[in-house]
Amino acid sequence: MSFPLLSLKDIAELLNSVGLNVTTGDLERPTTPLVLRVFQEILNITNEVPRAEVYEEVCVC
Amino acid sequence: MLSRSVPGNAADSRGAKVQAALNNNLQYPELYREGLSLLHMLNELNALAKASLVADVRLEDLTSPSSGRLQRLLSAVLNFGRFQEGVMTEHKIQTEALDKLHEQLKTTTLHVGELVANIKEARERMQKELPERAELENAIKKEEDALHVFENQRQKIEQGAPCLPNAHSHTHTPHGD
Repeated sequence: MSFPLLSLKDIAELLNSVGLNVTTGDLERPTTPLVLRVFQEILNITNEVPRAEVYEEVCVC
Repeated sequence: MLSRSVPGNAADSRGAKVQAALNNNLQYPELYREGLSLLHMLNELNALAKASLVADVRLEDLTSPSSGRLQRLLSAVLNFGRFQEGVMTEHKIQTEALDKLHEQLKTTTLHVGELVANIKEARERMQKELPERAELENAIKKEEDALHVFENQRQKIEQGAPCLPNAHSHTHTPHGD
């Protein structure tokens, strides 16, 4: 099973849209504080991990 | 930064248990606090990554991240996030529809309950009235039998007295002359 690989630009835009100030350059040269900040915010937003099996079934990437 | 994922957060009962275990079993628990924070985050991240179809999230992805792996991991998580958003929207729509159905079911159940009570009451009333009804039916039958007897008698009288003048002409003829 695979998924579409987003460009760093798209990722930066998506992260900016949820309030994370991240640039493409940050993603090209990631650091531990940046990664922790990004994943912490993502985990805060995604406070549950439901329907993984459904995702696996319907994802036609 | 990691306050919400640090074991021992008062809002997190699992974290509180971990914190208590640390304090009780380790001579210098503060030495492990930062490392445990990372492990705790990795644990949470693994659950999210697994759901996002990424199986191999490692501690190195946090401590010495590379652009390629970060891109792959974030792509997976963000794709899953977008999928989840769609699912949650659909879930909300379906939940609202289900709520309406529940409400209708509740109302219908109430009506059915009322109807069942009415039927029960009518049956009880019918049971009480059964003897009275039987008596009335008997009385009606007796009256009908008596009526038949009188009808028969009347027919016999009419057949046996064909020349008998009818009551109307009999009473008026003398006065008319």
